[in-house]
Amino acid sequence: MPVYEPNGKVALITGAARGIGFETARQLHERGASVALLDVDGEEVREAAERIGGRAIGIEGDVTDLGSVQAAVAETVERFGGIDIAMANAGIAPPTTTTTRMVPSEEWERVIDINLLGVWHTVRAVLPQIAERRGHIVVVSSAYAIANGMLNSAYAVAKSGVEAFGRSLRTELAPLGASAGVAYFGFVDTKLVKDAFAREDTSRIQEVMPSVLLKRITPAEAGASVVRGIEERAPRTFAPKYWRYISAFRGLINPLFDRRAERDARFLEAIRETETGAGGERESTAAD
Amino acid sequence: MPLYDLNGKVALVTGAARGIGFETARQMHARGASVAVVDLDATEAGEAAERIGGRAIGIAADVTDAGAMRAAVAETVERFGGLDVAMANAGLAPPSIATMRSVPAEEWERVVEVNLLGVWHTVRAALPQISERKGHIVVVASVAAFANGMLGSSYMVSKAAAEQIGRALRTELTPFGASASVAYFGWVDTRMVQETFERPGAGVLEEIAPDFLMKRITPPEAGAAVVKGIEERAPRIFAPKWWRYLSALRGLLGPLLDRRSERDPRIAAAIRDAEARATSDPDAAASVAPR
Repeated sequence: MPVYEPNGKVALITGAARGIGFETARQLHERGASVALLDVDGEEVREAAERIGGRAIGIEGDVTDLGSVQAAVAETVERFGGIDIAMANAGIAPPTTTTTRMVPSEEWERVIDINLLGVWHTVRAVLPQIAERRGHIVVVSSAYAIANGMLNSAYAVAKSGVEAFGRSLRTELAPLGASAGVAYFGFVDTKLVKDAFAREDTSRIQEVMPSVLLKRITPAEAGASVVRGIEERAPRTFAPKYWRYISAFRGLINPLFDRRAERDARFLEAIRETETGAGGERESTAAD
Repeated sequence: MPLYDLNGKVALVTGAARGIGFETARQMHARGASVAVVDLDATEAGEAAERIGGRAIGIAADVTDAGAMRAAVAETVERFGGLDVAMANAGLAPPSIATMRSVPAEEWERVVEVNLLGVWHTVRAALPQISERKGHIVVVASVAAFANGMLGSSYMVSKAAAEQIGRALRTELTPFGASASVAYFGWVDTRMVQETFERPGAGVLEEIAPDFLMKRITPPEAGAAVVKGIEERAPRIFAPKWWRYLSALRGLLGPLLDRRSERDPRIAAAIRDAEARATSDPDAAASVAPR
């Protein structure tokens, strides 16, 4: 018996044209919710809404722009009468797998802009509705909030910020009868992950990562974990589930893992190759 | 016998006109390092450098400006011949104790800009030197990185994020013989902390936290912990030290304390008060009022 029933509720989900966002929208809709799908690609998000069926609208919007999210919120409220559930899901993977030193700075900052400030804008825009209607907010973090962010630091930095964000938000919403949850995913078979793994610059990392961590779950499984979390107003959802245990013991595991990584010749070689492989670019980051 | 001897090294510290940054600069200098004291205000940075003595220069630079940080590093290199140690310390406490719903957006974003992007710009400007000279970087996070950020979320968010920069950096620097630390401080008796406790609504902190958590250490103690961490190229620096154990258990304690916070009527009252303060302020009221 869910403590929070999606039937008859209104949900807004960012980054919902595909992947985990789409699947969560689809499954909430299946349980009787009306859904507003937000994405940067207007055509794609409207098609996604159409595939879901009635009580679903697609809205073009950019989470890096507070005004754009506010407009999407206003449109959703106008169409469905309010918002009960929001999922700040939109995110990108860093376009290049490289070190903090070598990464093009606009790439690094863009990941923070979308994955961290995008969550802030989304939450800020929906909060008046969620608080008033005693709803629930899901912020999408990642196993990277827990794991070492080597060669992927912007992503780990942003997702760790999102985790702290969701925890604070939950406490602040409690006196109002509303709630928030942090969603942690390992690798999910989405376009974001497929694209990242198809790139040559990630092949070394895949070789050295433990294979249990590399196993991918489907977007449908990831969406189901979020929906269950909403129904339970859960503070945390993990998919795959074993990340719950890694999270619980992170304070002990992380220092050990970090030390092992520092001493693992394969990791170090992958990092060295990343920097030297960038060739002439290395010079361009030298202090002027 | 330190693993990494500061004597003869060159160090750059941001937010170094006062507090932990100043103390760390002073103590590195006492061990024979040349130091660049970076802070927003040229006069304050210059005066702080003067108080430290010879081999110390003051540089005015804003950590939110990548170009200014590159220029600060360039000036340090020109003056002292290189850069071995960088400490990304400049930070800001939230100007008001408020919820995410009631905080003025520009205040929230400013804290993230200084505490997170400021670290990024500092690290980014220093990295070529640090990597080349097999040096060391200190990223100043906070025990806030694993605490619940209610009523001050911009700080916890930015410090949790800064922690991840430091961890990734350390691993990425290892193949080049360089290293990085994440520094976690509890309450240190700095101007930032003193001002935080003077703000409306701050009383709840003292009310709900156990006394031992609220005990403040001095800036010299915090600086000494950092210097020791640099000498040992330590991955993590905790001051007070017992935060190390809370950090080790964070994955278990965090969820338990979060649940307790949700059910604590004193915290609920503080959150309601914070939102009420905001609604009496016309600028913030718009975001609290339902649309």
